[in-house]
Amino acid sequence: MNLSNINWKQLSKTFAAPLVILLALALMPFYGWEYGVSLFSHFLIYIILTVSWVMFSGATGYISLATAAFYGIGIYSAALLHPATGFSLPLIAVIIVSAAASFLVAFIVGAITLRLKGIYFAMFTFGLVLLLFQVINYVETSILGQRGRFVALESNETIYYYLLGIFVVTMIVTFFIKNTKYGLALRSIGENEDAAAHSGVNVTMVKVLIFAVSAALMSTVGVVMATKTIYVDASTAFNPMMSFSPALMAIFGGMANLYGPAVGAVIFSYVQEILQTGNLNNYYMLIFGSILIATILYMPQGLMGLIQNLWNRLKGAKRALTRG
Amino acid sequence: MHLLEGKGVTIHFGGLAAVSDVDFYLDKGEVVGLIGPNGAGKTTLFNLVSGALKPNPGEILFKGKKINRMPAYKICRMGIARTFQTVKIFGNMPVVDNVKIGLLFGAHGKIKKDTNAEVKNLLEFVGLDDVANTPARDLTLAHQKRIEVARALATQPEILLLDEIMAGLNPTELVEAMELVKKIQKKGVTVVMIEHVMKAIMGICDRITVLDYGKKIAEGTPQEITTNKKVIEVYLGESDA
Ligand SMILES: Nc1ncnc2c1ncn2[C@@H]1O[C@H](COP(=O)(O)OP(=O)(O)OP(=O)(O)O)[C@@H](O)[C@H]1O
Ligand SMILES: [Mg+2]
Repeated sequence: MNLSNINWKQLSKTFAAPLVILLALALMPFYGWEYGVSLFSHFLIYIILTVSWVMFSGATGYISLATAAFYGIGIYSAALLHPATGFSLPLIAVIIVSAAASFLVAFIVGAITLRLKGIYFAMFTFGLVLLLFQVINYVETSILGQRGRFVALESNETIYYYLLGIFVVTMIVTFFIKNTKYGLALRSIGENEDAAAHSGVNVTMVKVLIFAVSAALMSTVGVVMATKTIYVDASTAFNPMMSFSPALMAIFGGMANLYGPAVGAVIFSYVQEILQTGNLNNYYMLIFGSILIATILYMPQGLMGLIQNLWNRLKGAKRALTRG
Repeated sequence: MHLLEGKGVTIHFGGLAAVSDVDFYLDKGEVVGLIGPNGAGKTTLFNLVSGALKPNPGEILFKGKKINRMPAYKICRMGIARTFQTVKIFGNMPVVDNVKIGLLFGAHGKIKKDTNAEVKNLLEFVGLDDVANTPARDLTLAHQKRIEVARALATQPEILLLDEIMAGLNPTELVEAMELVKKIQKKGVTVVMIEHVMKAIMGICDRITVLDYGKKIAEGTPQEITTNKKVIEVYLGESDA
């Protein structure tokens, strides 16, 4: 990158709003709104998971249902390396170890499965979640003879700031991928894999690398969240909903830009939060499903796509009025 | 040594020998025509050279180096680019980005200059500079084929494989396309073109290879081919030739 080529005006325009939002978020714990800290932690979890999911699946069109697997790797990393009793690594070290482990698993799984297309890839990635669940469940109960593990508890503020940090890293990574030639390559793969390969793109390498990077980010969320749940076992760590939610949130919000997935994540996780506190958890799947079907049928570009369309039409109407 | 050489190149789909024991060669600077009836195996031969398919048996040498086990992206980076009979463009991406991909990944360090300027040059070269920012899917088929040509050229190839870039063009577009191929040859790129448009083939090619049922049945100058008995038989036997 040539520094003199950077358009500072453009850059400040792009970054001004995000920086203000970030500052407002960073000051959250000082508002004296305790529920806000845990609510926004909840938002951040799903924003990070959804944006990381879109990073790979949104661009390439390969629907990954492995999110819960990487999230679960994060949870188990915390359970093993940051336990309530005994030797415990600092949280930041656990995050790095977990990200590396997830990266490695995703790299291997990706190298094997990213030759699969469409539904087969989705099924295989979901299979990874079930496989990890079974293996860890077996090791814990049948070999080690225990059900779950206790994780060292962290304060709500600590959890919040970790999530905020991971959020920033996720955004930087996304921005970086989008603005380098690898983002272009990833998009070209989503458009036409054959043409990309015949234009010199090492399709397999690009796919596997970005898949692994997104997996690493997903797992870090798991690490942090484990310190909130205190007690973890295989079934809480590898919860299939963690695979479906990010995909559905992204589809609902729209994937044309970064705001779509974030908005989708906030809305859905808020609905989930309300239903949970109202003890209406069972309705969540029902509402979730209905909204999703409506989205696919009536707003294929997602919520942000719909808003964009309305906005364009409004602008068009205004122009027509001033002209006429 | 030939620039490109194929020895006993063969591939089967189920029981069908789509390409069967074909020998071929290519020398620097030529424009070679590859013709034959529908289903003769022309596109399949391109797929074999460009790495989309692997011959079995047979081998393909580029500058003396065996390439028939290499993945497509490596073959592209070595200097063999192609277009597709059924266009394969990046539809939702603007025309410039379609071409940029070829430059950033295919040429891979061969271009040290400003990539944006190079993309602009290429778009001017194929006559798409005024639609540079349009999403590729919004262009006409004729223009989409030119995107493929520009994208292939962007990879800085020594050999360019053109699969029916003139099919479905109107007479004006056809003349433009023929001019384009001649311009590509002048750049020093060796060209192989599959074409059913005989006027174009006869007008541009230095040499023609004829395939039928996966086998090479003739090879020679345009004059030799038009008077070749086997070729006449094959084409007269075909109602739509
Ligand atoms: N991937 C494939 N799987 C199975 N059969 C194939 C495949 N690709 C090509 N074929 C078959 O191989 C034969 C040769 O096809 P090919 O596309 O190479 O013909 P072609 O000479 O390019 O014809 P056209 O002029 O119609 O483009 C045909 O019978 C075709 O049906
Ligand atoms: Mg063909």
